[in-house]
Amino acid sequence: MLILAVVLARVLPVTSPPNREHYGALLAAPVRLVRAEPELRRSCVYQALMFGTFSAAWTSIALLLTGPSYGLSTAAVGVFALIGAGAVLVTPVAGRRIDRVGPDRISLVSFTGGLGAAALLALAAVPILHGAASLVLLAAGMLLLDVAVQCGQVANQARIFGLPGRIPLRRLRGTDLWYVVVELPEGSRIEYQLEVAHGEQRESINDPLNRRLAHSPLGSSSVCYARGYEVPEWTQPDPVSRPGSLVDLVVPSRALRRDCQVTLYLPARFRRTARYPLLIVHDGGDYLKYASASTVLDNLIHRLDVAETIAAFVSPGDRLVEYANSAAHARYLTAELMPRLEEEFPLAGTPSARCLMGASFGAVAALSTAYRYPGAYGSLLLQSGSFVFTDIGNDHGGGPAFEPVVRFVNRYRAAPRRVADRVFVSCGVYEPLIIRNRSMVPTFEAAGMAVRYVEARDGHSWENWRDRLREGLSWIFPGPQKFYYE
Amino acid sequence: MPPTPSSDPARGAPATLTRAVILVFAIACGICVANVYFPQALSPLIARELHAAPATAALLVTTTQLGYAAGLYLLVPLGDRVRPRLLIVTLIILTALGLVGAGTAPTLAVLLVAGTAVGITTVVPQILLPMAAGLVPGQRRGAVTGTLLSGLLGGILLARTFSGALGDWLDWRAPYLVAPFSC
Repeated sequence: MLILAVVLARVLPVTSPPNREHYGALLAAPVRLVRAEPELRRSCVYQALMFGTFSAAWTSIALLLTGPSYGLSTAAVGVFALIGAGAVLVTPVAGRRIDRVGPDRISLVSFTGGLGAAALLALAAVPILHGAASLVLLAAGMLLLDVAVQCGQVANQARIFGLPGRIPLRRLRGTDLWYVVVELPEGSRIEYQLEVAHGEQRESINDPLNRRLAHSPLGSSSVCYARGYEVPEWTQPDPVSRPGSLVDLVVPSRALRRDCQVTLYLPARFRRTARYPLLIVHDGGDYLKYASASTVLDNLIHRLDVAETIAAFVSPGDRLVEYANSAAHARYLTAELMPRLEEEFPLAGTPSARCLMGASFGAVAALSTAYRYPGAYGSLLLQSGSFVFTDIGNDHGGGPAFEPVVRFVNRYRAAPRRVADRVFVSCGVYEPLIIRNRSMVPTFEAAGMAVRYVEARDGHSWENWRDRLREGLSWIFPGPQKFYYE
Repeated sequence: MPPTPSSDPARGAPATLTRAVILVFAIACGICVANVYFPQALSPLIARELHAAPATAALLVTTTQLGYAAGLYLLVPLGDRVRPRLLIVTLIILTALGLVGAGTAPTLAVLLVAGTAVGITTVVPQILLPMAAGLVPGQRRGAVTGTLLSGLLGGILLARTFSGALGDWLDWRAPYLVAPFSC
């Protein structure tokens, strides 16, 4: 145990705990989770059944072997346990299968194995089979039971550590209708597609029976709203809100060696004599097109949730290069775009009135720009940031485009730096990035920045980012309404 | 001149090799969970040497399991709040102390208390498992979980072999005193 303590102290990664809730809240969390998560309940029931069988069998086999019918020594029980331990070789195989076919198929294998084991053990008790034959049946039954328990346990764990990416459809008997049942926690919003296999060819299509679609630069996908989800009305055009205006600019950049397109949002009742805060939005074209950014700004400013703000929607050239911790991109924003805007438009021009915003790779670009120019930007709004880092090994599963991001995020986590005063972080719980985003929060706090962190039952999608804008923008640039209450 | 990010390769480097670390985690799972199961083979020996009824000595198995259940409920959630390294190393040291206490217990009552304490603190596998699953990409999660669970179930099954053999050869105190100082 003590050698183990020393080894683990050396190899355990330095990760920050994901939250700082009170101990009481932590104790209440499992109860809440069991009530809220149907998949967790299913895993619990499966595990209780299989592990109960396993415990009962192993406790009684020792008594049976040393008892009057076999009269063996305790050493024989040890040998039995050794044979059963051979089943540990199965678990990595089961794990890899789960990564390919999902946990439910492996749970089925587990239950079938459990029934098979029960049959073998029952057969061993048939009176004609004495001695060696009976012992072999017992050993085989226990081995099969161990294999079944192992498979079941891996499947149960995999099920609660993440919903599978692919869920097989079932055919309604005698019809051409296919279905799948997925229980979603209240308030969830998910995007999905159907994968159709023609022989070796696989094709992803939208659900032909669902007219609700979500759009992104990569195309569209079908959307399902769980009970409790409603499209926030402030994301929809409101005839009462006075619209701001959009102005297209071309900013020649020496840093990026190209002419950059910028769409500027000027709030309604724009006045030259006022002084406005500046919001710089990465992937600006996409935010305008897929996240209704100008409608959201119109509504939030009209309702006094957000201060009157000038927003600069910038768009990348080669996104995977410019947004992956690029010095040229940071220089373009900070030394070229920002001074030009502050010269031509009535902007406050102080760090606290400047915010960098972005989603996914755009959030990495926002953070790395602020990192290269600490103090230039007072706040950051980071949505579902691709903050991929490697605590264990160097396999980040992201592909070559992520290499510079991983180097940057690893370096930042090793030596966190205060790059802004306030950081708003949001992420969807159905995104693989949720773990990375959660663990960035204590890192940002440790660097001395005020952090507001929000999770949503949603995925890596533009409508998720749209739905989080009110909370983020009203925290970063609160409108007069907020001041009134505070 | 923009300030470039200062780089310190030594501090920025990722922890260590994937496979080796996962293997260490798997072994840790087995060793820690074995503490719950190895008393099961010892209760007849304990009954004889501490002059207790076999059913009374078997209480040790029950209280160790109950302690484990209490630890799962009361200590595992701390994995969300306390830095994993601090939590895990502390729990292992406390477990080692509990094992020494049990191995030197003069009476069955002391043994029951120490055994329960071992059960409570030896919940390290259930902290390691979700942590490891969370730190690897989704497409490798099943494989890594499988490896750690191999260690866990290996520990459950081999625990009785270990304590049965050692108890037969020396006495019931031997497994309790060997466990903290070996491996």
